[in-house]
Amino acid sequence: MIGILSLQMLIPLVTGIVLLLMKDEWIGVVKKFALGSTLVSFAVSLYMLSRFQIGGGIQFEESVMWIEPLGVSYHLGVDGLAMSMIMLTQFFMPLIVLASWRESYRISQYYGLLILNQFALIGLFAALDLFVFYIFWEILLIPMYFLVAIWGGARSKYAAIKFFIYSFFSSLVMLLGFFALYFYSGMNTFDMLELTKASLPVAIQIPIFLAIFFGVGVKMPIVPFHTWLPDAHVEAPSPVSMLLAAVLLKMGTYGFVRLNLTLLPEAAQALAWFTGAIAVVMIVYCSLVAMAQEDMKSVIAYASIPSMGIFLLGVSTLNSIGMKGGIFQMFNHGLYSGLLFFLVGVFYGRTHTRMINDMSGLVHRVPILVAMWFVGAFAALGLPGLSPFISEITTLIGTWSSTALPMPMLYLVLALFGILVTAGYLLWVIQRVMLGSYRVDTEYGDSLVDAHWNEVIVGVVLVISLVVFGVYPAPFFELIGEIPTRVLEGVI
Amino acid sequence: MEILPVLPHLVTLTAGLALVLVMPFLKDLKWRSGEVSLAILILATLPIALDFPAEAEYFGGAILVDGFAQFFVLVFHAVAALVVLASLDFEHGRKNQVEYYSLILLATAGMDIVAASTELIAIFLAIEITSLSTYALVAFHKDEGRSVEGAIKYFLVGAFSSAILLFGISLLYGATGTTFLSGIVGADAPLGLVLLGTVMVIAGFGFKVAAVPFHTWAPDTYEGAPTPISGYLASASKAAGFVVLLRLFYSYPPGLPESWLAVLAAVAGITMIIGNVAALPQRNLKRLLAYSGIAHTGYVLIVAVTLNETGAAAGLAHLLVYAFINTGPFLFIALVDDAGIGERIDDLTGIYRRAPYATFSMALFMLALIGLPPTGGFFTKLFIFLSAIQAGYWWLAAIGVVMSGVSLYYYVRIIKFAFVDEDRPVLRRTRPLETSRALRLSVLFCGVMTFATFVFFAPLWDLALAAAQSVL
Repeated sequence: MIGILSLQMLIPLVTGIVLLLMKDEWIGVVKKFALGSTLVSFAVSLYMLSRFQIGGGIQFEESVMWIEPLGVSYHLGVDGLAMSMIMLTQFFMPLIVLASWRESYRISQYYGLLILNQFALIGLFAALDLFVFYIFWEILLIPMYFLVAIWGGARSKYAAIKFFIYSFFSSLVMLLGFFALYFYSGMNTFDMLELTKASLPVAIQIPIFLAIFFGVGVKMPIVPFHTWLPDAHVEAPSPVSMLLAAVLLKMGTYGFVRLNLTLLPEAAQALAWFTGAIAVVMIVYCSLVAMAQEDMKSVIAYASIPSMGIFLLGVSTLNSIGMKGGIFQMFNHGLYSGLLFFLVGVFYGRTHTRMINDMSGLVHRVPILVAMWFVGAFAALGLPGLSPFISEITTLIGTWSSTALPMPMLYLVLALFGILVTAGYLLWVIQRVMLGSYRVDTEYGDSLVDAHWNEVIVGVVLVISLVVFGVYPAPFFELIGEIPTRVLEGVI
Repeated sequence: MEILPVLPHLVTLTAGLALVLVMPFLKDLKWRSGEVSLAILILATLPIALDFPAEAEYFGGAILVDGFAQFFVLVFHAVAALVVLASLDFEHGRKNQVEYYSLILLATAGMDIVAASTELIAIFLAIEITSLSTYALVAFHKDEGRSVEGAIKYFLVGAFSSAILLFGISLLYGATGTTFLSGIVGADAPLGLVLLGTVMVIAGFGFKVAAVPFHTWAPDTYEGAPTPISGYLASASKAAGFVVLLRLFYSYPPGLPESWLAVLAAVAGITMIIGNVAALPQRNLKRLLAYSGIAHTGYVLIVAVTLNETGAAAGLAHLLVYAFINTGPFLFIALVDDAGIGERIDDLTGIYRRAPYATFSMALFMLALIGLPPTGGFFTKLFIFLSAIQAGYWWLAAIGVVMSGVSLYYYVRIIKFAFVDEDRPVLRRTRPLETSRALRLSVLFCGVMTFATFVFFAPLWDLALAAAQSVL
């Protein structure tokens, strides 16, 4: 009998390999197979969710010794945090498949690589062994490189190799941190559950914390290691940007909570001021940069970073409220950035331009798409009624009452300023691109068609999720309720 | 006296000699010398399966077949078998077939003996058997200028380094009165002489493994040699050099002062840096692989410095995996060259359409050399870094990490040309590649092994650990 976690890895693994072997001429079969497989995966994950015991710690555990002399074992298991990330991934995959429905170039390889990403992501979120975690962390780079380089825009090859080298180098540094943890704990194991019991002196914890922070930080991304993100997001095809923003960025945030905060609690305490400061820089600086962008996709790309800044601020508060806010923010950012990137791609497919100055008054021709954009943009700026409002407010309340941050009011005020700027540029984009009189400065301007069936499905599903979690966030908070306490106690 | 442990060595050596003596009399069988050699190389490794790890001494202790030696026999024979398999097609129809395969057998036999030698004269003799054979092999394409040029450079530098090696041996003998490695350790001898002798011995082998500053011959020689032979040099010859260095440092530490370990560490670091940085601008695939080989020499040299159990096993495992992940690319180049495409990186544009499985194998080789999953090269490279951390050599691990990041660029560039870039219009070049079966088989086998060493890494690590125990 195969464990449910391994099953959720096996389905996309087999699907991905089969897709890679298929021929491009069988385009209909390829698309239906990909959609079917991702829907099946989602169904399995829902079943797993139904069997999940809230507040029950690690569940669905699987453990097989792999390389005994080095203490590496194939150890999987999920708690509320991992569950939320796996659900996010499984939920998004069918949407991404649908969003790519009109692609045709090397289509079988495209879907194959996309779904292989799914395999690695589930493995990453479910991993309870540092080495297994690292393997999946690295494996993800390979399909992502190809997806960006082959199906991307004009500068896609540059963006892809930049992303690859940046991520690879930072993950190696993170690995050195893992090795140091392995060596200095003296326990001869890479198992995360075991390593939480090790107590290392703070002087050793801090360099390890920083090494791992560098690795997860490049993924988050933290300033100043964020420069790969605008290039990769802009050059990637939109469904791949959806995956990048909605899920891949969460690798970094998940890693931060799982590794930095849980395994190295004293260092987290000592460096909370530092991580909080970086968070605030992310929020303020990248909001200002987003405001200056001329390419709509660039705006959304830069808009992801302040969101992750709010996450980082929330978890740096090291109190229950702030951390819950930060984790919820991870989830919500996935929802709305997925929606916004999707829509940018749709608009580009219609108008063949992404430049803000080239377009205006889109509401007159594509009202459904614009309506969806409104929801996404309002979510991004934290309008009450949509889920990011809840996560932002919770994070800010946590910041106010944080004992880990020196001068919490300062962090709070700066974060609020950044949120204000975010509202500014998002509304400004709406005003310039969506409203006003109709004008599109390309030859496609006269033939704009509103949403196709697959686009309606993707957009409506994401809009509904943003609204549902905006008015009823309780289930999510229940799911992750135990996480802050466990993290602060240093238990997985 | 047990004969089983030394059977591989005897069989390979005898076959090498017999081939060139007997074959000229067997008119038709002459053209089958390649297949015969392949069979011999594979069969000769069977005794290892029967008795591992062995512990047998011969010639008064000069030859010691232990787990360490047997492990390397596997490495050498794997590379040689792959090279012979590829040569069946690559050298098909050329004159002097018998000599070619007999030289490969002799070179391999020489390496086998080096791995089992614990006495300096035996080491020297064995390494000379190998070297002289490989000089001739590099020059095998007598009609190509660059083949002869590469051979002459290789020969001159090789002869020079053999002279240094011999001089070092003579100094050690003069100082300690013995040529047995075990006798040199802890001998009551003037330190200066021992030091000088050891350094010269190390320098002699430094050339073989292409460590800085003894690396300059590699790019020209690899580029000029027949491509399968370049692969042979890159994977087997290098491992042979490492056998001696590792045995020397792990089993018979010459009692060098601490500062010398620091020098060796510096050599490792500089080799990693120069190998990787020099590879960046290369446009010829074989030269690029030569510099990549120099970089990997640097990575393996780390374990000669760290001297711990993880290091020994990681170094051995890496050299075994290297047999596949490094020979594979050379065989892929041979395959592509044989089909008339060319040796430059841009010649590979869009080649995945014409030979999907072989190109996929090539991608796996590149990932393995970078150190990414799902390849065996991932584990071995990373565990080398682990051994550095365990021994406190933070900065060596850091250099390895930075340089691996740098290397990603030139390895992925090959993948990029092969998979991402396309000749437009695409239809123009989608005819399947015209290649012969043996060449393709050799590449695909390397690809499969690259992946298999990842999935089955645990038994591989156990094997390497067992072999390392003999020298720890």
